[in-house]
Amino acid sequence: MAQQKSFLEKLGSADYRIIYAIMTILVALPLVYPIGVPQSIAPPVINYVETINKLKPHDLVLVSFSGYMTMLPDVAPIYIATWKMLMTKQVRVMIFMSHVDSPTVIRQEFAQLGWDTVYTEGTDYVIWPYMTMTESAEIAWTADIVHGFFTTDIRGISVDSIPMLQSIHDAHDIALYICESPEYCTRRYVLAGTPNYNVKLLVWGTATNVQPFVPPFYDPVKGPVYGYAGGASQGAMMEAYLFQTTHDLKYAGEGVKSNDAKNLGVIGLVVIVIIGNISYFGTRGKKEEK
Amino acid sequence: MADMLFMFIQMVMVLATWSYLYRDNFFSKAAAEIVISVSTVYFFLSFYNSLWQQAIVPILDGTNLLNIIPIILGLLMFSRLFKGYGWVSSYSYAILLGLGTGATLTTMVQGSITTRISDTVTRPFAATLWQDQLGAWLTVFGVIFSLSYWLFTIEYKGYLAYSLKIGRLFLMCSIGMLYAEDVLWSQSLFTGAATIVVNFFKVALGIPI
Repeated sequence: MAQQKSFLEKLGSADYRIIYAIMTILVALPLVYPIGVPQSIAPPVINYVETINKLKPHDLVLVSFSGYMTMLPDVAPIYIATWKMLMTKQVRVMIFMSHVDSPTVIRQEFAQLGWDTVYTEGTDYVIWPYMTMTESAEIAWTADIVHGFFTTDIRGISVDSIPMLQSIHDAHDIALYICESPEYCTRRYVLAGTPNYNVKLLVWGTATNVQPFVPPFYDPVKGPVYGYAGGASQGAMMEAYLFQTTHDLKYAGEGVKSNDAKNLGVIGLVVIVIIGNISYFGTRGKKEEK
Repeated sequence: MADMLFMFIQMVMVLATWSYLYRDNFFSKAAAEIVISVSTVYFFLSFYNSLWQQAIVPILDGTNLLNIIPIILGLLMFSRLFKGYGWVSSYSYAILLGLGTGATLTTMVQGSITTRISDTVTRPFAATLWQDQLGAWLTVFGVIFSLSYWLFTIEYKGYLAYSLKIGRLFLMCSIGMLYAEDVLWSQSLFTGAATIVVNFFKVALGIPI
């Protein structure tokens, strides 16, 4: 006769599909009925926003954009909030595409935000075509922005015919670089050049890519990284901070909306991990006896 | 109408992919095949456009004839497809790596190595809040203990054995943190997919998103 399983053994051998179902319900419920989990705001996110706020009209902002479809849920809140801020600053923007999906994603985002109602392509902003740049290529580009690497912008228009580029020479002209790698960008845009380019840096991206690597480079007063935001949680923080400081509803975006779902999902995940461990340690002795 | 159709396709693709969690089935396989084939074509065309616009057009219109050099180096990579001629591709690798190393050497040491070391050492004295100081000292000791884990030329005895064990603990903590961040990333993607499904039904039922 088969020995009856104990409660802990049953718990440990539960069908994994039940766990998937619980997780789906936990994530979907707050999307239907928002809970409103309180949101704290990390100082690096505040400094990210304030660094953009300090931009003056006509400043040149370089942005490295690697948005791709499967990554968007984690980073879109940061991207969208950043574009919205830049739209209020009357700056000049140059955008690198660092993923093959990025041209499609950026066009979609700009269309949704009405970017072209504020800025004119070629006069106020330039999008460079997608191209994987090696270090040597980027050195050439930082030394001669117009002719150092690209021959056309993303529309295929020659660099010599783009009005905005005619007043730009090298990386010394860049007032702020919103990039993805603190280490790489520090090497290329702060330390390189004669004299050093010393470009101010902000870092954005996924939490996994940004948060463990930024601290050695982050100093809100001296730089080189003046602020950073990584992952959807910090995207939600950015939206919350912008809403608190401006009271403008346009900043209440997807990050804040989906934050409840993520929090509840993570809580569910932690509870499931704890239950799994209780079951494992509770039945370990029995298994060894067998 | 077009938006609704797009949302419907997105929702069907999400549900088809999720159905794999129940068991492998026709819908999940179909969704995977569609994504792979569409992205292959998309990636190929994007790379082709990029190559054409930035490398070949400047040669054809005579603005940058030197582009022929990287194109030849790129073509040499295909020599690996022919038995006995694979060694030719080494020239492309050598030039790429040589140029990259030479170009980065000047800033690499300062940007990637000394910045991290100096930050680790100076942070405990620069921090003003006790929490920051505690975290900074923990990092200093964590680095020292973790480094001892990688000493392979000395026998682990006495204090060094304890140092190794503590170092291993720090390494496991850092790997655990990276793993946790990966889980959070997946959680964000899962929430994004769930939002697509929920939003479709909200729109279909006339509920504002």
